[in-house]
This record gives sequence, structure tokens and C-alpha cells, in this order.
Amino acid sequence: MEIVIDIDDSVPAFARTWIGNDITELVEQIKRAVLNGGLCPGDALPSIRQLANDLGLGGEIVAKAYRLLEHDSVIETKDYRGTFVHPDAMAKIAQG
Amino acid sequence: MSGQILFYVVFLSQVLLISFFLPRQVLERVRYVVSTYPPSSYPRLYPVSLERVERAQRNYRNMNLFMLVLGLALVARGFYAPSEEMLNWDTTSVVFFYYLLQWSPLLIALTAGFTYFNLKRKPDARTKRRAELRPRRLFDYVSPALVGVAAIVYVAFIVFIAYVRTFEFPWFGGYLNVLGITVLNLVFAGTIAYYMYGKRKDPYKSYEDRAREIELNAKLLIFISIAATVYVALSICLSAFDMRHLGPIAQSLYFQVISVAAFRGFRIDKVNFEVYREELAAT
Repeated sequence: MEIVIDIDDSVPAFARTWIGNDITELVEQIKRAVLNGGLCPGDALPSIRQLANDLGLGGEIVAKAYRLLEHDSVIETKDYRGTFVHPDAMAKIAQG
Repeated sequence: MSGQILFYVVFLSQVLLISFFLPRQVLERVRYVVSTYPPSSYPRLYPVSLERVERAQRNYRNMNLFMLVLGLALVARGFYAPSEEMLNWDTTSVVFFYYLLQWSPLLIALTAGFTYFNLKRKPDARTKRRAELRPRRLFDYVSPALVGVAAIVYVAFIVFIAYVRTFEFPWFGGYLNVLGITVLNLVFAGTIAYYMYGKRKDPYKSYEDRAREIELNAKLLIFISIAATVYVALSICLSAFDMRHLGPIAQSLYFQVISVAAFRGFRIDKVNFEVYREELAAT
């Protein structure tokens, strides 16, 4: 499953982070991946560092996106084992 | 005397292998890439001019030629003016420092490679950043059996050092040997983690090529960890059994084995060069 972030925006990078464009895009892409079956409940997600380095984004952006997804019960973090798609992710996104 | 002849035969093979055969393979690979994937069709592959690539090739070849001549001179001196120790110094140290010199052309080339990667990133005007939503894990690239063997060899080495300590040899470094191997393993672990989770060096490289690169480097570093541990244990055994004169032979063979391992495994024909085409790179 691949994620694509489009950074083609007239807003400068520092402002995008401040406004939250990258965070919102990342959150929406992961939700979409769950809805279209690219990610299933229980699937492992990459670490914050891995995803940030692969996308060329700051670690704090990915961390914030993960926190928002965790707050919405789309993903869950299991201590030391990593981050996984929440068992109720599909229902929570549909509600939300 | 026969021991010295054997040493110089083994050392000669080190000279020829690392300063002639392996560099020739590297140059053949570069020539293959330049002729099969020329700058006109694959501009993203060449962040610097072709002249600069050719100059780097020439420098690499000349440096290796110098190392080859130096090595052959050492062998010739050993045969025509034999002495107990190489250059009337310490044979093990001479072999070690010569080995470091033999690797210097490749290290210089690799440093230039990092500069090329940085230059590749600069003109990358693509606005879409891609990433796989899947964690990379060590066992995706290396079999648990290989990691298990490395762990067993490391534990066995600690037990071996503890056993040798009971003999109280005056020359024995004791647990400093364990410390050395532990530091080496930690550096290797950090390097593997860097390959797995660090920033992409080449922005155009495909997922498959990156996975192959991680697999190759992880396997190589684990293999070197095992080989280094076995080599240190073997050196201690040779000293304990008063066979120190075989030490330089074991050392030279060890250097040759890890050098072949470092070059082996990389398959240029499996690299996806299509990502470096102009029209694909622009999307």
C-alpha cells in the first residue's frame, strides 16, 4: 500500500506545517487507505521516523498525524510493538 | 622458510584480488552503465557531467594501479630480501595498513558517490512524495537463521574469552576483545538501521531497488560480524598454541574473504534504471 503526498502548493513549506496541510493530507490518505481496503484492521503501520524520512517530511508532522488518527480510533499504538490499524477503524471513519 | 613462502603466496593473492580483479569489476560495471544507460536517455542518473565521471574512473584506476605496484614491490622485497618480519617491522601491521590503503580508492569513490546523491536531490522538482504504508523489519531482508548464527557466534566468543582468561597468558587482552567485537556489532547494527529507516540517498530509486540495497548491506554486515568474531578467536588460538607465524596468513585470508563478500551479491542487471529517464522523473 502506497501513500502519495502532493507538496505542490503555493503556500510555503513552513506555513503548510503551521496551517496543517501536510498533517491533514496524511490523515486523510491513511483513512482513505483503510476505507478502500488497502489497510486492514490489525495491519502494522511504518514507524514515525520511517514514514517521515520516506516522505521527506518532519517527524513532528507524522507524529501529529498519528496522534490525530489515534484520537479518532483509526490507529492504535501498542507499546514497543509499533502502530497498528485499530480493529474498529472502518466503523469510526464511517461515523466520523 | 616454507611458512614465509606460503605467507607471500597468500599476500600476493590479496594484492591481485583487491587491487586488480575487484577494481576491474567495478570499472566494468561503470562502463556497462554508461554505455547501456547514457546521459542523453537517463539524465537523472548523471548529476555531474560525463567528463567528471570519466575523470573519477581514471583516478580510481590509477590509485588502484599504484596500490597494485606497491603490493607487488612488497612481495618482491619479501622474496629477494627475506626478513623475519615484513619491512623489518611487524608483518601483521604491514598487512593491515596495506589493506587499508587498498580500500582507500573505493572509499574515495564512495565519498564522491554521496556527493552525487546530494546533487541528484537538488534538481528533483517532483511534487509528489511517495512512501509505503508498511513497516520495514529486519527479518524482511535477512533470514532469522543468519541473525541466529551471528548471535550464537557472539555468545560463543564471550564464553571462549572467559575460558582463555583462565590460562592467564601475559599477552592476552581479556575482555577487551569482547568490547571490540561488541562495538563493531553496535556500529553494524546502527548502519543497518540507517539503511532501513534513514533518509533516501537516491530520490529516484525504486522500492524494489531500495529493498535489495537494504538486504545486501544487512547480509554483508552480519556476515562480516561473524567473520570478524571467528577471525579474532582464531588469532587468539594461534597465539595460544605458539603458532603466531601463521597469524599474517590468517589475516590476509580474512581480508580477502570479506572483500569478496563486499563485492559479491550486487547485481547490476537487477537495478531498475527506468526511474532515471527524464520523462518518468518529471512526473
